[in-house]
Amino acid sequence: MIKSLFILNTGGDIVLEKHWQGRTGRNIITQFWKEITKENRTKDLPPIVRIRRQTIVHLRKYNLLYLIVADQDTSPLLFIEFLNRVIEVFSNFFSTEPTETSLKENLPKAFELLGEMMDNVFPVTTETSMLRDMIGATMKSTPNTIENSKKFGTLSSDQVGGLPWRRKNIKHSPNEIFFDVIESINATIERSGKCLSSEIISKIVCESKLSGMPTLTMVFNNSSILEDVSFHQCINLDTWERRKILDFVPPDGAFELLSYRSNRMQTQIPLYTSGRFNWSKKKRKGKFEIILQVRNSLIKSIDNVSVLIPLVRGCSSPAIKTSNGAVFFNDQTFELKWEIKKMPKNNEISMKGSIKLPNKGEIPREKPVAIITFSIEGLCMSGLKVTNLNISKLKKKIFKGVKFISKSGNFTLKF
Amino acid sequence: MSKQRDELHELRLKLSGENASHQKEAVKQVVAYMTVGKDVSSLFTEVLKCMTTEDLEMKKLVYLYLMTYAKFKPDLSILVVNSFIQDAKDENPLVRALAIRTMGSIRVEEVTEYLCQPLRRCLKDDDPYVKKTAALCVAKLFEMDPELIESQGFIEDLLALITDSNSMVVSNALAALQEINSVASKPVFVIDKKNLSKILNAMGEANEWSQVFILDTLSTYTPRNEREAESLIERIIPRMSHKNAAVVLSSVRAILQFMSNIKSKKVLETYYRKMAPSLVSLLTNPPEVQYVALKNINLVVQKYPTILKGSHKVFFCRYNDPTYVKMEKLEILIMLANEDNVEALLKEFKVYAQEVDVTFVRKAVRAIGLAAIKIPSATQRCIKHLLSLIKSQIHYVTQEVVVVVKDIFRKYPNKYESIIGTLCNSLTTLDDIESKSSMIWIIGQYADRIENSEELLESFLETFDEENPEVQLQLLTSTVKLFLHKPEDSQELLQDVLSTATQESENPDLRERAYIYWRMLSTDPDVAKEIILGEKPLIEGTNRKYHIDLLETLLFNIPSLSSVFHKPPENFVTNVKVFLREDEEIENDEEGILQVEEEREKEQEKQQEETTNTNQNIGSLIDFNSESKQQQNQNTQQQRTTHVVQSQDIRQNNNVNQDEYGMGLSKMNVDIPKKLILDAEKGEGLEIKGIFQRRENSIFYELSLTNKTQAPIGGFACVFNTNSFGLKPNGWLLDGVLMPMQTRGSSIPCPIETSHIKHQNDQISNLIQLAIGKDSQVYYCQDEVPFHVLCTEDGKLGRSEFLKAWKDIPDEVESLKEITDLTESNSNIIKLKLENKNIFFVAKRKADELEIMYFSLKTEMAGFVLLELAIDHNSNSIQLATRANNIDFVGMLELEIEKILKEY
Repeated sequence: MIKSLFILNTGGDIVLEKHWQGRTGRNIITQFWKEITKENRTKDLPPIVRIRRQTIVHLRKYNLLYLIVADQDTSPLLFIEFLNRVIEVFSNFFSTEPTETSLKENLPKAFELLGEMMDNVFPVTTETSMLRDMIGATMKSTPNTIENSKKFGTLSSDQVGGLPWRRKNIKHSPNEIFFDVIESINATIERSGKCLSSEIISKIVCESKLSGMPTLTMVFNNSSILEDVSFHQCINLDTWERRKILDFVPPDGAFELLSYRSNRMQTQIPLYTSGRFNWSKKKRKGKFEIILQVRNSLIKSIDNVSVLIPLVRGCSSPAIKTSNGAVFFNDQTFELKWEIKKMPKNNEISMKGSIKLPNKGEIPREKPVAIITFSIEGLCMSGLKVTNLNISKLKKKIFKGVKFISKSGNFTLKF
Repeated sequence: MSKQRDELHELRLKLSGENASHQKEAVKQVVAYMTVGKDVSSLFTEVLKCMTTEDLEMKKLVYLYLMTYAKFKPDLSILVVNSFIQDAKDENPLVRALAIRTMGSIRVEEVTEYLCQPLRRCLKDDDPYVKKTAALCVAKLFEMDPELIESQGFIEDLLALITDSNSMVVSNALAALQEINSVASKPVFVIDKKNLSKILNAMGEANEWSQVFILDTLSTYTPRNEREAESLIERIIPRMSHKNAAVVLSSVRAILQFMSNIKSKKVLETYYRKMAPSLVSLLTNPPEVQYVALKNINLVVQKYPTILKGSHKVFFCRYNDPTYVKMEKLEILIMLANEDNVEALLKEFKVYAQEVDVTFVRKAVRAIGLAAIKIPSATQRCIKHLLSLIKSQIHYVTQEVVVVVKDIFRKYPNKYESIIGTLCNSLTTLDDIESKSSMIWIIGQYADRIENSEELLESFLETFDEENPEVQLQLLTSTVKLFLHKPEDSQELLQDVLSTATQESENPDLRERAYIYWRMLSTDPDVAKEIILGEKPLIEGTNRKYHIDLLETLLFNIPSLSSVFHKPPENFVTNVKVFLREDEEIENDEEGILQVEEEREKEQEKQQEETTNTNQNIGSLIDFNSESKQQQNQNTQQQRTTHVVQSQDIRQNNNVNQDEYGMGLSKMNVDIPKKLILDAEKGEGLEIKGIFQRRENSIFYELSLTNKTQAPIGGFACVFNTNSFGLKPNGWLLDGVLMPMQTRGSSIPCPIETSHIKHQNDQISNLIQLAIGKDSQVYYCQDEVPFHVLCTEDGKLGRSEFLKAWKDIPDEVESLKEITDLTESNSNIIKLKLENKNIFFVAKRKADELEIMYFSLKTEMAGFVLLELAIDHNSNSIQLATRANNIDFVGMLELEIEKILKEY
């Protein structure tokens, strides 16, 4: 079970330590730090390591290293999920990314939060909205009075009343709820333009400002797209299992309703791409060409396209021609970036050119990849549509809306 | 220093002041100091006074402070108790819950008793929030004082909460009971048909974390019949769509468990279909989650090879995946390879083989080979890929290709040997053991087809003496094969190898194998030929890496660490509580860290790889020695046998060595050069050398005195100043007179007398200041006491005593030291060296790449001291962990051990 949580900065110093069971000596952290800094491999140490009879689960976020020390054979996934939740809650409460500075500024609050999030060895309340009520994010500005703590008294029964994620007596005016369906397209494309693998990873995020205890139902045009789906805990899983509609009482505020994965690109990849890249030994140069074209049948336009090619250290003097857009070369990170604000509808566009290798050193064995980003508004590549959104138990007028965005996820061209 | 004191002073004033906002600021500051490790425990009383505040935030901070420091101030903690009891009656349920929660976390035994009454009240509180917090508190207290909890009837109270109307209360009660189960000597709670439906209902309404606990508890339930198993699975299936990956994995485990109760193929098929997408969707999470998911998917696929049919593309590696994810993905891709997808997979593998990360590249080459072995129709294509990889001329790629090609030859003899030429031509230097032995095997096996086989082999043989044993064995076997193929060209070579192996090698395995060949060849060369060049059993490609029993155990422990490390839980975790199935016997896990014995390890090792029986006992003699997964399938069995023989031999060998060594050491005891403590100049002609030694349960100061004057010296006396150990000489320095140029030895018993212990600023020193008197002259000098002379002969602890003592000393007291640059890391020798100094061996075990040894010792002033030596043979270093009740001496002890280990 979880014994302790440590948060370290980039230098390995402990910024925060919280112990739930006994006290874990700092020894183990010193050892872990040695391990993780060994051979410069910070990035690739597996997230779960054993150090002297103890298990350490660690992950890195915003330049902080979160470590959980545990000593029994329990679910490491639980720890990882808990850590992710801690990071999420911290960023919500600090109203900024939890970096070393912001964490240090908010230490007492961080402790208070951790105290509420985990009791003994059990994660308990980890929902931001519930925690907000228990801790009172604005307590700094409004000194806590007896009335205040009395008010909190009602909370507890709320919290355990029915829904762990929503308290009673929420009031909003106006009442509104908006959904964003965001689909990220992951694809690996061969230089010939052939798609090696592709999938869509999507999520529906929601911003809810509704009073009372509204029950929502959401119906999709084709629920089988959501075969591979993970739901927020507010969704009634049994209803989904039986009737393939979403039935839920949303948490208050922003939250992720569900995420899904689909590898049925109902239509094809929206952006054709192909290209080549060769290192020339004689000239110590890399020569390349990339071609992009919007798929003909795509009804929406593709915006904010960029092609990023990370090159080996020391490359210089790019000589490049493009038919559209602009090319930038960053001589610090050695990245070449081609940006196109709007893709022309029917023509293919191209970038062609060369880059010099440093005068010394080996010719790279590997060819670089091109990382392509883009976004398409108003369309879901999986073909998903929301056909019906119903809100019951709420008499007032409600503003509601669903927005669709498709964008690139891990979209790469392998030369 | 003084600045800090000023700060503390200022804080103290603010804390005891009247100004509420100043007070709060001060408490915040105190907590901030606490978190960065500054000692603010001196403010305990002042902070305590702030507890009566009505400001909830401040109260929480005070509680936080108490949780940290109460342990160090148990006497003062009693003062807190009253405020806690008050708070536990507060009308605000949040305060009541906070009080109970904090009291449970304080972990001061004195406080525990006082907690019972408020806890009992809170367990029956009207407010569910208080009730659920109290439930968890029971689990906390149980860990500290199980008897108290049981005798006070809290377990019954918890069990009663399972029927509570509030699902949060139910799930917390369950979580608490499960936690208690994991530490209790016998389970206090089992699921039966009475509470089953209650639990299932609670699962539906519980929060995500409670769901994990409930699912894990549920998995231990054995359904009464098929129908019940099905209905349970139906209830759990929806959970597999949960956002929280921990819930998903726990659901998968529960479903897998219940599936074993179902016989209908059709029903099972539908469950597989539902499970697959959930498993796959775990891969949309961040890499850390992916890693755990992949490890678990690996197990599931081993058991149910078809479950992810058609999903192979999900496992393709992305350029930005961390290496640990890539490695796991690759492993699964190999398992998923079949006729239909092999084309696509090979393409991927080839791309991977061109990446930069060496380990990943090697694994990718390996993957191509495995595909060739698994799917005959694809072999030709695999070989084409491999040959094109050889052309890359990259060192580690070529090495790996050699290993892989050897496996292909073994799977498809007489089919693809035409590529040997290419292989031999592109031979660069092979330095990896496995690829070297692979190449040697190929040369030996195909000696007749390789034109210059004897030349090639000869070049390898040049460095025979320096080779790793595995390579030596292979060289031996291949030379024999070469001889059988081409007797006329290689007789001399064979003679050389056989005589080197039999006469000069210290490796019994090699020696004996050489003898066997020798005898076979001299008895009847034709029969030898028949046996040695006989047909080899083919290797087979299989998905299953682990023995079915191990696999079942791992699957049963799915969400846990063992499913990540692919080792049974008892293998590596302290205070293990394995999820036991009903049909399994409970193993005695008392020994937790120490259940070590080699047999056990071997057994597990054996289990780890799937073994098939081959009845050729001489198989390994004839055949390939280095192990890749497939080969193991075949000859693990024999190899194990040889290994066992070998290791026994080694052990015997070592015993012999040990004895010699031991005698050497004990002789040295007498001859240890004494150190000069008083030189003749300072001592006006008297030279004294001395050393502290231990024999016959006592400490002696062994001295030798030399008179370098022309006159006799007499009237000797010796006195020790008070010292850290309390050593006091009991006897004369020397009786009588020392004649001119005479040297005499003397040995003074030095018992430990508590009255002679020097307590000065806790400065521990192993220096002894002594005064030597001769003929009314006094000389002052000093000497060092080696720590080991203080170690008594009765310092050996039994395993269970050791374990208990080890656990009794909290982790934070443990002291760590790294000892590097050892000349000798052989555990037997280490054991011997230490035991020679009364530091006794208790047990040892293997953990991954480390060898871990436990020792105990006893000293009069510090009682028992426990040691753990984690030996890293690769770097010749030791991580030394020391636990003792009296830690004053630990630093000195560590230095001493380093010294002992580095001594010749």
